[in-house]
Amino acid sequence: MTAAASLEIQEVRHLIGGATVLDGVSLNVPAGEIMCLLGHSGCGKTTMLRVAAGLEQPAAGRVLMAGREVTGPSVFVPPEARGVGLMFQDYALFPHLTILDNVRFGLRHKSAADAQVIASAALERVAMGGYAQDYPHMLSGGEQQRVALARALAPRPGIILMDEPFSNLDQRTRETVREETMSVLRDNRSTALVVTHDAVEAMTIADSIALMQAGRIVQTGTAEELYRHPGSLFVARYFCDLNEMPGEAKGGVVDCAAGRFVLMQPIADGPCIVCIRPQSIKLVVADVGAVNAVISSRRFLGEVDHVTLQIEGLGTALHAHLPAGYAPSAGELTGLKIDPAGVLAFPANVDKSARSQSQN
Amino acid sequence: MAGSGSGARPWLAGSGVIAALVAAPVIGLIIIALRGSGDLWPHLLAYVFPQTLADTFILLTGVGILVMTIGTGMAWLLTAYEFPGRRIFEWALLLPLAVPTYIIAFAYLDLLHPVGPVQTALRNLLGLTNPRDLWFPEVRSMAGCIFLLGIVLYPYVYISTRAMFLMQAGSILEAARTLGAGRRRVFFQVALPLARPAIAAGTALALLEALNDIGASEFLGVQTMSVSIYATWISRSNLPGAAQIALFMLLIVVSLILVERWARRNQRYVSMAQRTRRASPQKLNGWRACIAIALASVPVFFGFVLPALYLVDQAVRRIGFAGISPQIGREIFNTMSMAAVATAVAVALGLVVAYAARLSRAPFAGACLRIASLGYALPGTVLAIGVLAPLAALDNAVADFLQYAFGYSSGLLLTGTGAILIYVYVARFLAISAGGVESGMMKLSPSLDHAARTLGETAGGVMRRVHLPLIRPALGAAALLIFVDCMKELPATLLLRPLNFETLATHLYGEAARGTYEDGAIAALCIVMVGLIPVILLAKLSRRPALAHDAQQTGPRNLVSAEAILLASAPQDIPQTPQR
Repeated sequence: MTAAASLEIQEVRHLIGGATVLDGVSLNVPAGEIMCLLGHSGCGKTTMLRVAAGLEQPAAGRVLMAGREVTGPSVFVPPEARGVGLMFQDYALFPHLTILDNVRFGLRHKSAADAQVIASAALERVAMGGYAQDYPHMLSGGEQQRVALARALAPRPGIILMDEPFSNLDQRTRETVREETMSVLRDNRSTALVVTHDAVEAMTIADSIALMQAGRIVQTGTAEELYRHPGSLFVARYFCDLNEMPGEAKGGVVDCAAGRFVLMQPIADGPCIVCIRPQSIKLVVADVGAVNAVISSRRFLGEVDHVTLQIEGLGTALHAHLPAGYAPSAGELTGLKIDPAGVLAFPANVDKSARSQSQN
Repeated sequence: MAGSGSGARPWLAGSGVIAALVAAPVIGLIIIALRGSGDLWPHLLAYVFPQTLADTFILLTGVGILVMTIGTGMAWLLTAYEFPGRRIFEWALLLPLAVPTYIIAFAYLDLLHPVGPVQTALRNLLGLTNPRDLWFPEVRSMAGCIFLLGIVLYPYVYISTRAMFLMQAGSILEAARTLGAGRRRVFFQVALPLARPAIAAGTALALLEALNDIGASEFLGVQTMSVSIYATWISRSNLPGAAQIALFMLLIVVSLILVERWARRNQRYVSMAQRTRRASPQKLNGWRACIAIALASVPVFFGFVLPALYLVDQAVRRIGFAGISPQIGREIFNTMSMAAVATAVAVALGLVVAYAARLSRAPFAGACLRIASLGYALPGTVLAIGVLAPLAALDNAVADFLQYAFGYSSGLLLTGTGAILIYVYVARFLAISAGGVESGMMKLSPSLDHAARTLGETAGGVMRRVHLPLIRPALGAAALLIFVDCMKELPATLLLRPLNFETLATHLYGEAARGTYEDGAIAALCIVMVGLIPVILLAKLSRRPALAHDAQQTGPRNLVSAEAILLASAPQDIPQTPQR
């Protein structure tokens, strides 16, 4: 069994048609780890994956696999010689080959008998052994996805690269297939780089996450680090629907329409954008002198209630996610209790690009 | 510089060489033309040019008007109206495509001869005995030539325009009706303007064919440029003069291509409403239906049924009288073997050019693909002159060298054998295979290539193991078209064939030129029968408007005959992996 290889990407720059798509990207995926490359569409994450696979030759930078340079100023190992497994959004199963022949495609250098054994085992591992003689169009999306996984894993690549592997599945199958895929990858101790735009998916599957924006990595870390300690408004927004309002920071304390909060992550004094997580807002009895709100609507969503509130001095509505059960009705006046752990602040005027990015 | 991945470089290099080989005749032509014809130039200028330019212009104008009228009229008749036999006419109207221009002229010359069957029958009907007593329009005239070319070339307009009418959303036409426009106004103010790009494109293709024709115009005494080139070169042995005429012809070709390009650019607007329901045709009954049937029968009868019946009749008589001569057998073999070799080479080179463009995003690859596809627009005579001069020089040099160095008299290796003919066929018809491969590959998701590459396959291996099996139908259709086009080709074959080497087409030309009618009908019938194969395929395809539409969308970006566009996107029987 090929040991899982580490993947190192150093300062990769890449242009397509004169436009900079990758602007100095560096990544480090230790052997056996699963990293998610997260970002909006068009941020360059798929291009990064293609550079790692050797399908694109970047303008500058290096790619190292298991410490060996495969892309560099004077080195370029073609994709067929890299030993990477690549999985596509559309699965890219060869329509003219049976399921078994699809999986056998990458086992050309083995003897026919060996290839047969390996391919069958790979299909068994994804519970698709019974479909060996079928053709791809006879399978459902989830089944095709599993075959694609078996095909990518069969040659025992050191690194698995996945491009939005679950995005073509419907919500229900997606979770099952995702779990199965991840357990196969972990059993294999594969190194994997998975591209996705879905923050929840990234948090579910990844050991670490690299968030990309406009061709750059904006933050790398575990899911918890990125969620709890976002380095910028863009990162914060990516992982949570935030209530945003202007505020003023001074000495680690911030003032805004929703009240005064001590910041867990202090910022420099001056105008700022205050972000409040919807689930850190609690409703209490209205009190004179405190920040009060009028409930403008309430939507029952089973386990939680989504409540929108109007507070004085704030043009936009405030969204709160409350545990179901407490049921204020529209028009009622209520007091607010906001957990300071759910309040973030970022300097204003710095994140203009983030605003335009988050809208698509 | 390779845009994506690696392994593209050898393919790009191959593609570059192929494009250069296709472009070489044009450059050769310019060089010869610049060499000047010396003292012959005044003669050309005074006697040849005015006549040939005028004749060509009148012919193209006449044929243009005729094919537009017939093609558009038939397309509208068959899409806007429903009448008994409509489904048969849908494909029957394609049949004239199987009859090359020189064969229609060959057939009509004999049919309409003063002592031929038509005039004899007329005289018997009128009770006349002397051929001079009956006035009959002379087919050996400009008008006759325009009629005969138009009657076999209108399908180019018919195909593209019909596809366009079928694509037009029913809602647009119905909106016009509810706004108070009658059917006639809908046709002239909505359907026709929307179909204009298709009409222009189809007409440009038909005119390129008319320009390429050498047989019909010569038999009918029309001094077109192709005829002048042939005469100037062969009869007056004035190659530079012929090249100068050819250069003029090239200008006409370029302007036709520009018209076609311009027309197709507007096509985008029309395909907006591609997925909507088409308008339901109006049902015709009684005498209206009879008129519709009569109208649709005219082009089919004159463009195919009459000449085909004549050829069958003549061929049967000839075979009954003299059997099949060994000469015809030899010519069939010559024709088939030349066509087969040229097809194999063209398909292989088309694969290289189209695959290079898929592998690399570099503009160079796309440019090579376009240049390699240019040959289709070049008339056979132009191509022949452009090829001959450089190759003859090379050939003489090689022969001299062999003679000098080894005392071995090799003869002329390229021009003396069929090799030069293969070269011209390939250069002329490479567009079909390159376009077919290109549109076939366009349907394959690029992720298939990438999946195969990361599974350890090289660029060439991906083509062999993934693309070839998947595009086989498109490739087969392209090969068939090339084969048939090679068999039908006359002008270049006539100019470049080795001594005493006859194909079916040149045999027919020879007999028609001599005014003898021996085995000609058999040769012509062979060509028409082979020519029917792609027409049948095309007829099957045109049943499905969605496919015809698809073909126009994904078809080769370059100028290729309408049949090639349609056939190249032959339905792929292999089920595609459903995409999302």
